[in-house]
Amino acid sequence: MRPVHHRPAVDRDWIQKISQLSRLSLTQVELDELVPQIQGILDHVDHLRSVPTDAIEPFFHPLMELLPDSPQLSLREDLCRSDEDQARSAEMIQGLAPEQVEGAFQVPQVITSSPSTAGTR
Amino acid sequence: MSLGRAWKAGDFRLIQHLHQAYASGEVGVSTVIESFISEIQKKRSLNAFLSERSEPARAKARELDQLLSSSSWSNIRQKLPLFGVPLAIKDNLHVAGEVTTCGSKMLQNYRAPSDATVVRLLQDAGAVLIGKTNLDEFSMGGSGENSSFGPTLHPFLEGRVPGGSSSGSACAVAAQMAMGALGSDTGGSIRLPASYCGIVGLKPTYGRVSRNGLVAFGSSLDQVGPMARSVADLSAIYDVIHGHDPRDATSARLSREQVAAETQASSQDWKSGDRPVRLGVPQEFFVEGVDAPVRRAVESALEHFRSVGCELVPISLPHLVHAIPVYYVIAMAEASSNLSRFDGVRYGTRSDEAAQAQTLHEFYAQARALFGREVKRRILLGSFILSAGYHEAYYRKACQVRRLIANDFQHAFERVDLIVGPVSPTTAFELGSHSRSPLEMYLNDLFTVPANLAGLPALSLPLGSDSRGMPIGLQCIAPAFQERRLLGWAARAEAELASRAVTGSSK
Repeated sequence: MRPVHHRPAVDRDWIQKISQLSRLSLTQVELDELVPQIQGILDHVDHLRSVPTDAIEPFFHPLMELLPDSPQLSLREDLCRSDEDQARSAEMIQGLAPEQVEGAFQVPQVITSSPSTAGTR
Repeated sequence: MSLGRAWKAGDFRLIQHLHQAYASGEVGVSTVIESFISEIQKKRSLNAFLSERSEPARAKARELDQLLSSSSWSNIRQKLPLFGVPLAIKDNLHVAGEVTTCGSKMLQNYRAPSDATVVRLLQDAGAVLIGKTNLDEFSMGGSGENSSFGPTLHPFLEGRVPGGSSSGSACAVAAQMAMGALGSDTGGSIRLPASYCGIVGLKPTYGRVSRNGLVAFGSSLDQVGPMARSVADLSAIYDVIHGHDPRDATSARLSREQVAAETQASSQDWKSGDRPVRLGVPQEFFVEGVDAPVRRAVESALEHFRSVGCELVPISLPHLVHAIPVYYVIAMAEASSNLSRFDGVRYGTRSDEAAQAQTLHEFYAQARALFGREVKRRILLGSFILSAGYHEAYYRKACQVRRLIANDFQHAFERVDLIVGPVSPTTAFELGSHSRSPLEMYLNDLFTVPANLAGLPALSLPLGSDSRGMPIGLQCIAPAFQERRLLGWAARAEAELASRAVTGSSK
């Protein structure tokens, strides 16, 4: 038998913690709404606990199940392809970015010397 | 070329009719495309399209008209099976250089670097892509109400939802703004709106149609598929888009024997070899909670199929009752991983609020504030499901029960050729009626998610409307890679239903 897992108490603090892990910020209204909603969904999901699955291998992906002998389930060689007919030039791809400088993508500054950003990894 | 007649989009019910008109010189592609563009413009209040492609469509039509004047029709038809057919595509599929929003503010400015494989295949087959359609944000929803750009409305039932998440595609086809469309189906997103809008929709076997250029939601569940007004048109679009694609590592490469077996199955529409086709009728599809008109319509259609030569076999899929929790655990886990790329740096709009953030975490939180409520809810639950300490209890457990569901289908298909039942327990519900309770909305997917979990092909076939005018859909599920058998049977079933309707009304 697997150890019985204990579901955390679904409250505002817990949802706040999960939202930080998910890199989401929630308003107070959203938090209030989410408590009963997530509680209800997890209650429903917990019905699965009653299904006996001890000797059952997990089904992760249909391809492995539908075509178990397919050679494509192994990794292909990492090669440059000659059949890329579309004009995907560096300039074209770069032209789609919001900001670019001298042939490079420009992204927001994430490393500074200021101590106020010490929490930033 | 229109010989003085004013053509309307509705004059061309089927691709076959359109092609007859092209072949006889009655009408040219530009005239046809113009009539569809005008239909789209007239019906903007339905909010079916997020972008109209009038100019590229006109340019393509001119190009095809030139071909029409310089080549023989048989030559054109052979090389371009979708010649001059106006099609719509769901706005989670890429067209090079154009915006793909996924119905989300997060991607309102995102331009795709290349065509989705299915988009390229359609264009190479002569189709004219007339617009990109509305959807529930990142395909998360069953009603069409979750789009950041406003809900899609039902094409002819005021105050009702069209179903989702391929809501705009279904609406466009049903309201004759396109002759067919592409949708995507992760848990019913093609079949549900097809059923609510009275059209045909196919979710192919997992891996049968390339996902390259489809924005991922649930990677082990997502499939692109066609939507149309008839099985013949559905088959015509499916024929063009399916097949192995080296650009999608999860695209299925069938052996020669498998392809041969499939081709053979296509000729056996109503029969299986020399015996009647056996339709499995799962008791779990006819439970409490299925609306009486839906149940009556499905049972009466099945009885009719029996009277014209099908064998009905009562079966059981005992683990189907667990399909909803299994589906939502897996779909949310996969969604939370897939949507982590939308962070305002790699992908996603970099909002002004995010640009002013002091720390990286603050930046991400601000950038991701553009997600809508349903998307946030699923990311939160998915992150929890995959977190240390809970992964085994939720994700692994759900994958184990997923196998039990897949095994149920496998056992059933040892006794029957196809499995039939309703697409949805209800008909199109009222706008706003489920918005307070996400769980209630999830339960509506009970009959559509099992095919995604097992990776099987499934089709929604219209059975006409109930006494209130609400369309009802019949779902038909086939063994993996047997789309030909499924479409062959559905074509015959469609014809039988049509002749029953004629006989019924003359009584």
